[in-house]
Amino acid sequence: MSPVKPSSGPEPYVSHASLFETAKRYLTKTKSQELLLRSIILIFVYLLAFCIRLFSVLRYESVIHEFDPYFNYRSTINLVQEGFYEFWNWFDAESWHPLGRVVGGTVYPGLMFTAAILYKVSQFLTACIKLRDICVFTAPFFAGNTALIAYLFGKELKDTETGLVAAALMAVVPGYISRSVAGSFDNEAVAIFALVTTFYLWVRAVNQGTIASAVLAAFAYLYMAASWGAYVFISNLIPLYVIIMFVSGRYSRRIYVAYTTFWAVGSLLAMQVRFIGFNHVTSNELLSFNGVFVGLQVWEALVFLRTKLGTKQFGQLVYLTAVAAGAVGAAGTAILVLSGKLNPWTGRFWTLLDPTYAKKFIPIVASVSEHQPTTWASYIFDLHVLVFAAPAGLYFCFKRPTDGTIFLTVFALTAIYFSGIMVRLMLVAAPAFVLLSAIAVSSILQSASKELRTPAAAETKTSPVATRRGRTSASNEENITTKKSTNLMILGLTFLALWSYSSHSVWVTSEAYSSPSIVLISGWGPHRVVLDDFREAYYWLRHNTAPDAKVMSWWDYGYQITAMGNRTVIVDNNTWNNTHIATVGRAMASNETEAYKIMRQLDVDYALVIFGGMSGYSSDDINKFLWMVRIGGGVFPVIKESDYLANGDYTVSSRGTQTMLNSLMYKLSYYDFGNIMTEHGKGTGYDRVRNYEIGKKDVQLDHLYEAFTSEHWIVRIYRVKDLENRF
Amino acid sequence: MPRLSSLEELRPSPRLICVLVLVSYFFVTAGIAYDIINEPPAVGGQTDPVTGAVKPMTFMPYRLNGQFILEGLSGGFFYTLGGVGIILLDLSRDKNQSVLFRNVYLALGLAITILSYLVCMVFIRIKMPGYMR
Repeated sequence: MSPVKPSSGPEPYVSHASLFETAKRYLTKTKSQELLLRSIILIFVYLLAFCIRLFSVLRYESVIHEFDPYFNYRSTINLVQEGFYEFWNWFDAESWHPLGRVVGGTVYPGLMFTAAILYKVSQFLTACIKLRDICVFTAPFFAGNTALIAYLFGKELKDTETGLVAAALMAVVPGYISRSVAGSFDNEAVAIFALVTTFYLWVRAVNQGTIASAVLAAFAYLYMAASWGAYVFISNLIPLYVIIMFVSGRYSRRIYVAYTTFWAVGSLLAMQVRFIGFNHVTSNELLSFNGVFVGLQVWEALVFLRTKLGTKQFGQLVYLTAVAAGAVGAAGTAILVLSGKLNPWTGRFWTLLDPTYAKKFIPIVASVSEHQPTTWASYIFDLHVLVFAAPAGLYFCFKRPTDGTIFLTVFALTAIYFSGIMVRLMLVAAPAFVLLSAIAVSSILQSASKELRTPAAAETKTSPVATRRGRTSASNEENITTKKSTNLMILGLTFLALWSYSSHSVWVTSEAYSSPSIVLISGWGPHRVVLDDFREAYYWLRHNTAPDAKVMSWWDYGYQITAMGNRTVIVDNNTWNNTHIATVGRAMASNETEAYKIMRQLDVDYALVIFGGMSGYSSDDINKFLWMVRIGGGVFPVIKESDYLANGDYTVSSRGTQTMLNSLMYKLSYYDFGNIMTEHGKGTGYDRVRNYEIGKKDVQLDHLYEAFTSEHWIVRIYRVKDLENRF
Repeated sequence: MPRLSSLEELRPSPRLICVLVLVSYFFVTAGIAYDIINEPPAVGGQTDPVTGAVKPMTFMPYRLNGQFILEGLSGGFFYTLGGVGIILLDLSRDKNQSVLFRNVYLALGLAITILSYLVCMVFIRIKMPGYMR
């Protein structure tokens, strides 16, 4: 204590209570209890979201899964090693062999930057985590963040309880887990976080109506635009929301401020991504984004003018302006379309509006298994009880509509519609389902607990009346909705439902979504079989071929070959050049002599095929072969699908057509297979995927020779022979 | 502006929109896009190995990415029914309704919700025999 007393003011208060007494005082206050409970719930939600995604890491090892993540991993290595400017201007000569690929301008860099920043931060804090591990664990880390943002979003939409339920549901919803397990280092890992954040900040901006909140939403939009091509979903959903608010009579100055700021700042920021560039203002996909901006300015200008002019003058002005604007708009659009400046919608997005478009016109989009439409079972598998709670959530949103819940309704309806068209978009619908269900569940719980808390007084008032007159009390019948037992039963049922939801989610994650598809694991315990053929083959390529060797394979495996095998490939998963892919498809579908000519043209040294007949691996090239024929036939009419089908049946047995049995793909897959006995009791050359014996058992290769076949025959690599000596 | 007031009268009521939304939810979750693109049969057939007769097979087994039309419609129907059950549960909380209606809504809502959940569990077990094993 200072010896000099302060000249003015009372003595500062110093508490002499012990730590225990202070803690007890805080813990008995309801507000502190609530804060403690909320913090504990959120911490557990975060840990749950992180840990449930770790199955494949715990079972096998920390390895990157699938195909696309290998390219992202390679890009992140480039970014970390070479630096920002080298990555931004990177031209990759190791893929799409004669053409190369401008990676800097054709990639969404958000994911790579995120992983690189996490890596640098961990290096700075001297927690030296390997870059591969950072990449593997980026997705679970961001899944935890998404759960916390869902809490904030729920809080903004309704109240804190809804936020907590939303966070808990978002942590384990299987539709989101499927694309964000540890090891799935793909755009969606950070993009769903960016999506939910952008929507949360947008609803916050609309509720507050300030420029600062809208600028924050624009920065979240930048993160989304940098991460995933589905940023156009946000850029079309928000204008649609503005239009719906306008039409339903809820337009306000807050929406105007929020949207104008969001448009201006968001467009400028999104255009910084090289891949987007000026597309943001010229593309048809963003027409509504820009159009609604113009429309809002026109509306506000009209409102302003109306307050300044009289009614008659204003009427004349409106008429003149409408006619002039209509003429200018029509002429301008016509000029832009005719001069080709307005970029058309890309094929992928056309499919969302007309589901049969891809099947008819773009076989490469139709062939991707993720682009197939959804069946009813995917809903319950990916969402479990949320499919029941979501319509109820929609009802609650309609019952008491606020600006935020109308936005959620628009988001949910569009997301549910799109999820019905493409299985992959179930990922985008999952947050919508979670938020709707959170509103429904929280409303049920709140109404039930309210009934449980209040009628203690009401019961004592009515009970003497009831016991005296039996059933003829004030109302003719008992009101079972206010009885304690009913509400306890409702609470119990909700508890059971959420319990089954979480156990279903854990089971689904463990069984269906945690396979590191680079390694095939089957069986349990002592009967566990691990097929590591892919990595065996890619590392063979890496160590045993010339450094400038070119490898031709189907585009599915391009990223993996470049990342793990470190060799140049002809086509890879980016699929930006359909003709190049069709050339490879034509080579695979032609007979060996024709294919040899194409391979010499493309400078190919090795041909790689995936074959499942020995191991039973069903996603092999023979099963994908018809797509190769269709894509090749789409560009080169000499390849006709009917030549490969025997009576409309796709078969490689003895009933197969000669074109099929002489094609390069058949020869490369079944070379030397006719001598192998794969199943007890069947003949030689029994294909374990197709479940019959193959047609031609003695395969002769003239222009290639077998270089490598992996242990279970899954990957087969052939060396293309040089030209014969003429003399 | 005089035209705006007539626009208000033209605007559909929230209740109507909610009903339309639930109907569209039914169609989308029944897999209507899959039905349009892939055109599966309404029910499949399973040939009995002994007698050679064809038994109708309602659920396409072992695959989550394939369905028959009727199978999809029944799944979507029970999803929507479960949602309606929860809506009924909330309708029973309305203090302005008579007690009889509130009781009926509560009982019906509980029954429908539990029924939909159990039926969907049965469906998914038929479709995927390895579920939760």
